[in-house]
Amino acid sequence: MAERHTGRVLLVTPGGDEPREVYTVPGVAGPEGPESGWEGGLMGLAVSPRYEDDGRVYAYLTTEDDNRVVRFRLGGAEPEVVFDGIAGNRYHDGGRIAFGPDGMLYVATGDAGRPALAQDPDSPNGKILRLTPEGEPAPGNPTAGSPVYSLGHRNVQGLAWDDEGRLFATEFGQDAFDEVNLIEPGRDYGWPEVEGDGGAGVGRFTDPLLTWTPDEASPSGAAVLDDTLYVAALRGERLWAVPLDAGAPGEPTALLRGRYGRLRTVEVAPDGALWVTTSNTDGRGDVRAGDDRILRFEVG
Amino acid sequence: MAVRTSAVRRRAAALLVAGAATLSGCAGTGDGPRGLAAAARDLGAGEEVAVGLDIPWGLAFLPTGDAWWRSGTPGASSW
Repeated sequence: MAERHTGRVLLVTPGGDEPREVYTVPGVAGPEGPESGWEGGLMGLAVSPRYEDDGRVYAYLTTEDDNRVVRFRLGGAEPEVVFDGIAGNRYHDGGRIAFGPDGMLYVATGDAGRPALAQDPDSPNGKILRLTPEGEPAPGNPTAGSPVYSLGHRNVQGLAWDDEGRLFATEFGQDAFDEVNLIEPGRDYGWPEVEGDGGAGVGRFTDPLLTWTPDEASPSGAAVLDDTLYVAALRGERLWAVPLDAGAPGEPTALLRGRYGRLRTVEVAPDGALWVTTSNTDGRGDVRAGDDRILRFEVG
Repeated sequence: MAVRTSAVRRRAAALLVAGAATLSGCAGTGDGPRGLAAAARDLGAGEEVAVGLDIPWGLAFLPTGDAWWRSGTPGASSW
């Protein structure tokens, strides 16, 4: 039982051996067991775009002091801190990281239960950050020297780019509306002044592309395959498929509804299959035999 | 079930069928109001790549494509 709270990184080979522990990220904070109100821990994972040369893996984690991004080499020594000082809390810790098509590291953060941070340009919370692989503010960010790429977010846990380089982000709403946003540099997506639509009318904010109610979605991971955005829904217990036309959404379709429970992450594998992870052992789901699992789906 | 989208609302007054499209979309069929082909067919049975995991969260692929990583989290995760 202790293993699942150690921040392990496992190597999974389809059709091969059992998952194999290849690294343990030290300093991960959290309760000793599943606890419904706790959302932090070892979360996002990204492989360096120069992995074949540098062998680095990046991770986002909650420590006793903050949320941070570290990088390490598998089987190597202590991780190197890439970016720290993201306020942590029992909830709204964000946690998704991904390298964009520009080779920069994008970091999705939450407001740590302090909504005003999302509108504070000097805070990394409630933002999407854009960093160099070394953790510095990326060149070309909206404000020179600042890591902030977009602001006004409550809790972003999904990042995905389409073939044209458009960035889509999923965001947990509070009571009314979860969001999918088309992220553009320097834009303010409204939290906590606006949840869902309505911000564009007052001029300062950018409206989401689409919204769901939290019981339909509670969206975490996101991935784009061909012309479809896939969103893994936790409370909604389904995989949303949103057709895209030049970045504009068509009508979403609910997939996998009632089949696997809570869904955390969706990614596109190198062979074009969708990989989906369940999240039923997190203290908020109904655990079934075999949970939690990684599933692979052929599409098309 | 009411999937509420900006696209749906923008078209609601002029295109009542958009509401029907919303409902059918939730049931896993139909095209969206833009005429886009929604991912109408549900996915088939998933291949279980790994089971018995403790709160998997991040998932990333090695460039070789023959191995995969995932992380386990301490404690429960969002929602």
